[in-house]
Amino acid sequence: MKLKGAGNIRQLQPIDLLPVNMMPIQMDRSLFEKLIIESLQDLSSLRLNIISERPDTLSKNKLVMLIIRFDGGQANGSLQLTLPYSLGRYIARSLLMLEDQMTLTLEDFGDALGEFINIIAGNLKAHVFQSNELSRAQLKPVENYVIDVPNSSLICRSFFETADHEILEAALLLNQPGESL
Amino acid sequence: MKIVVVDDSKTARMIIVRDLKLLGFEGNILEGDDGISGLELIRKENPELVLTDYYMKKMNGLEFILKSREMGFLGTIGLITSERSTIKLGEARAAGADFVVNKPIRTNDLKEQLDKLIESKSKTQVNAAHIPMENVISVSFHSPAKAHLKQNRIPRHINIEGLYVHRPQGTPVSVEFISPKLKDMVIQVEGNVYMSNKSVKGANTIVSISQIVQKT
Repeated sequence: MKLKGAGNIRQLQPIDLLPVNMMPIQMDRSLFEKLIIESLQDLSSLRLNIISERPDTLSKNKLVMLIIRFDGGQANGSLQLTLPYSLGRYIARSLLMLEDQMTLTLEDFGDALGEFINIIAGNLKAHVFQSNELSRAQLKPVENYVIDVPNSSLICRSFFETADHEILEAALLLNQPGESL
Repeated sequence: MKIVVVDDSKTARMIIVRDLKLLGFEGNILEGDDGISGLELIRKENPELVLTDYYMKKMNGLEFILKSREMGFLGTIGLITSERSTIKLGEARAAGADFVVNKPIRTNDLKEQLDKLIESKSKTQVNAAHIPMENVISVSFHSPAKAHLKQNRIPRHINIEGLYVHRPQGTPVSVEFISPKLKDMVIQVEGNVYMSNKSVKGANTIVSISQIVQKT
């Protein structure tokens, strides 16, 4: 005699045994790239092309890193955008609609790029880390560019190039338990 | 329409103003760079719509909304936030927000909220002037009612901006206390509501009609 519901029994997979906060966070890479490209085009009319490998030129420029955290969820993470200052200035000027002769102050630069990553993170949040809260954005100069991010799991990483061959790196990271940025 | 945008990020304000202009709101858009300047703009300009960010350094969006309501501002307030949880939404409504728009603002989301606002306003104005009483199903309005007001103490005579509403005995009334602590509540009178333009001395002071539902 077949037990009622027996057809629904399945072998437990390793993933079933993981605690909730260890469940893998996933993001489709093409969606990640699409959101970055669309956000940038919408905000600054800048067109980006995806490049398959990290170009050497990135580490030769003076870089700034924009970071925003996804906090307060069962799993936490962050979005990091690394880009040359020149590209950052272009984005900031576009967001602030500054004419050529108008000066971009350091304060406005930080404010614009903070809002820039906030918007991108907000767009991503519809797809990943939905129940988390967004932190305030942080900006920091990149002293030594390294590709590896210690103590974090890489969910997605992509490289983009502008028509002027400026590079933007976008990385979505999952914090390991006990880790804080 | 006079609009005040409050955000401590200059960029965010520019993006919101740009979106408002894209939606066809031209001219009278004023900007406040924190809650304090936002309150000052509200006091001076008495706008019809205020859009405020949640995360602000000196005074967060909820505190700003609460203070603006406490000083008697009756216009519509939209909170812009990246918070999506129902607790935050509840808090926003309790503080006096009329709607919440998620950040980053999608132009369509903002348009939807503003369309609702415009539709609600025109419906209210038309209805207040020409409403056939037998067609009224319910009237909703916001009130700075006293915290101790209980359901069984809801007055049967209510004066809504000069529009007199009489609730016949036995008419079902639903009362939703959003937050008695904040002295902000929504009263909904359902069923047969009699309305006229008489003013009743001593009636409970009601600040604004939010919705009048009629039979279709």
